[in-house]
Amino acid sequence: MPRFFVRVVAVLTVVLMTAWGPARAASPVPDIDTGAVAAAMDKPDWVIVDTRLNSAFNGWKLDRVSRGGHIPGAVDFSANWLRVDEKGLEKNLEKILAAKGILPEKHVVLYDANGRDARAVAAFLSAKGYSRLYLYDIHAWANTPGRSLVQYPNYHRVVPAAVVKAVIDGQPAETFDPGRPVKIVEASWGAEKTSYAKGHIPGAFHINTDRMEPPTTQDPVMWMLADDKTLAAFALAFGFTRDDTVIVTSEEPLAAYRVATVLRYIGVNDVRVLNGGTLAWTLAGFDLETRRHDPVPVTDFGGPIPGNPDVIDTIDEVKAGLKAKERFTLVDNRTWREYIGEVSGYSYHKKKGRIPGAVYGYAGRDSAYGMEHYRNPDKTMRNAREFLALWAGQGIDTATRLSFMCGSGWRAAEVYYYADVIGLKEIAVFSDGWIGWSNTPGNPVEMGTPDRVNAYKIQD
Amino acid sequence: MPDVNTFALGRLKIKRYKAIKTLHCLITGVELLMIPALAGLEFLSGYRAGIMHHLYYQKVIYLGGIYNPRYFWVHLGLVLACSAIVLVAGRRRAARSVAGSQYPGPVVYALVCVMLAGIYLIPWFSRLNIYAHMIICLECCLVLELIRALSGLFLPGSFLSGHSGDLPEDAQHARTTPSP
Repeated sequence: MPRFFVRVVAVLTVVLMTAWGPARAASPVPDIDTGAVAAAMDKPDWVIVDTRLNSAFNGWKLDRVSRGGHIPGAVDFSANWLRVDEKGLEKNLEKILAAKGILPEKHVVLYDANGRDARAVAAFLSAKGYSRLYLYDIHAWANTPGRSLVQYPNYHRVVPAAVVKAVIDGQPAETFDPGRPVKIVEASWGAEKTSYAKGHIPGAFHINTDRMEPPTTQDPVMWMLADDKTLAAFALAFGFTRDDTVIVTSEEPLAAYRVATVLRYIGVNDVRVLNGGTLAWTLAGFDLETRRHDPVPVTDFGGPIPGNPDVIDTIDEVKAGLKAKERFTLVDNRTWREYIGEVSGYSYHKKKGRIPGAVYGYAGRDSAYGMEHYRNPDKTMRNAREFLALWAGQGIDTATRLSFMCGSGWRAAEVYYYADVIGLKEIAVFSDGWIGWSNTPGNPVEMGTPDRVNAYKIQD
Repeated sequence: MPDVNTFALGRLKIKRYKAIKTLHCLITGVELLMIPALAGLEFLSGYRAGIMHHLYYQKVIYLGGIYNPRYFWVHLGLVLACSAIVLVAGRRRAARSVAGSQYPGPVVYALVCVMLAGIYLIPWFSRLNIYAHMIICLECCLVLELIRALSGLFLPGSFLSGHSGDLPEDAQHARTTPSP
């Protein structure tokens, strides 16, 4: 009889191990159910963490989840961030954990949709001394009627690598019209050798940003957006038409957002950006291609150029807006040192300062090419609640028309796209930016820390 | 047997000879370093936006400033003046120098002048991001060659040295013995 009992126990153990799978059997982190997660939403000592790709957090239905978006109140800490090869990543992640309130003394619910992401983050946190960890499968939440998910209204504007791959492979892809051809574009400053020739998203052709913002040939030296006639020629030469669907990629996402914004200004209806750029593609395990592709020129754009002039504000429009501050905010997306006039930010531009009335809107910490305040470690879009909190800290009212500016429109273009993703409608890019403004004789300039800022805390 | 004054004079000549030769080596070194520096900058400017933008900015500023076409005759005049000095100095030195002495200064100078003219006249060069920097470097080379030519006059045996005649024996030895 005891021998029989031992055999039964052994068989049951094997059956249970097989049913739960090796990963779950080996995991020391307990699972949690939907009711407990819902209850945790109201408890201050609990934090719910989305460990999926940023695009899933934004709203994409990845890993066969039935509904897209994130659990209300959840913060994000993607397992993808742990895989980024970056100097100082560990310290950066620790700062991010603290900023998001993911603290060792709290109960931390880690959820995913693939059974891997939450475990990867759990292992990372366990090594840092977090002990109150719980795993949750968001499929259960998405499949439960009445459980809401937060989905950014225009989440489709920034596309995850998996969806781009599906589009390239001709597979059905969420938010893409089946049968409609999609153009994949890789944007970078300079010739193809700068990034495209080293490897690009399969099928992509290259755009040198100098084609749409050629440098001036006399002092003052500037890379300003070309006039509409030049942009029209650019659109035809690269085969763009009004009804195209375009996905813009780049090694450095700034270039992609800049080109995407200009294409929208020109009038292309559906312009999207690969969320996280080439890094997102390689982290997803997809191969880059080195074969060159040429665009096929067209003779008719299919509409007037610019088709969406509201995308870009001119100097005159900004001046008019600054006179009606109750309806207009000029958001300065440069570094703090550029904003207060300590540096110009550019080796080819010596004038320092800011436009009187411009509100500090964050971008990068040190460099004129940095976007740390708007990006995750894997170069994807930052959680909107966090950058909206930065804006609120500076008194930026999203009910006004927001005109984003930087040096010459690159950083501002990325912020513009993120603002669009979260559904802000009254937005534009002041493309000429500080360089265009300060090189125009007679324009007023301001230096130093504005008095108003004393009331707000500048966040690192 | 040489007296004390002759010995001291010999030491002075050797010191001056070595100093001037060191200066000439430094000049040659600086001139040679400019080649990879310029080539490297042009190469990097094809890959790095920051470098290209800075070089392009400098190019526009220089071409609109000191290299503005209206200053062409000023630059040409300065080059011709330098050329005249180098030629005169070269002839003086050649006439006074010891037998077997070779002075390549005017040849190098002429080579730099030809390069400068080529860069100015061939449109391909003007499309390079380092165009202005190339002109600056070549003009610097002309100045360096001028310094080389003038300093050569102070070598023992030259007319400005104050002591015409052959080098002391050990300086001769230093000049004719190949480096290891």
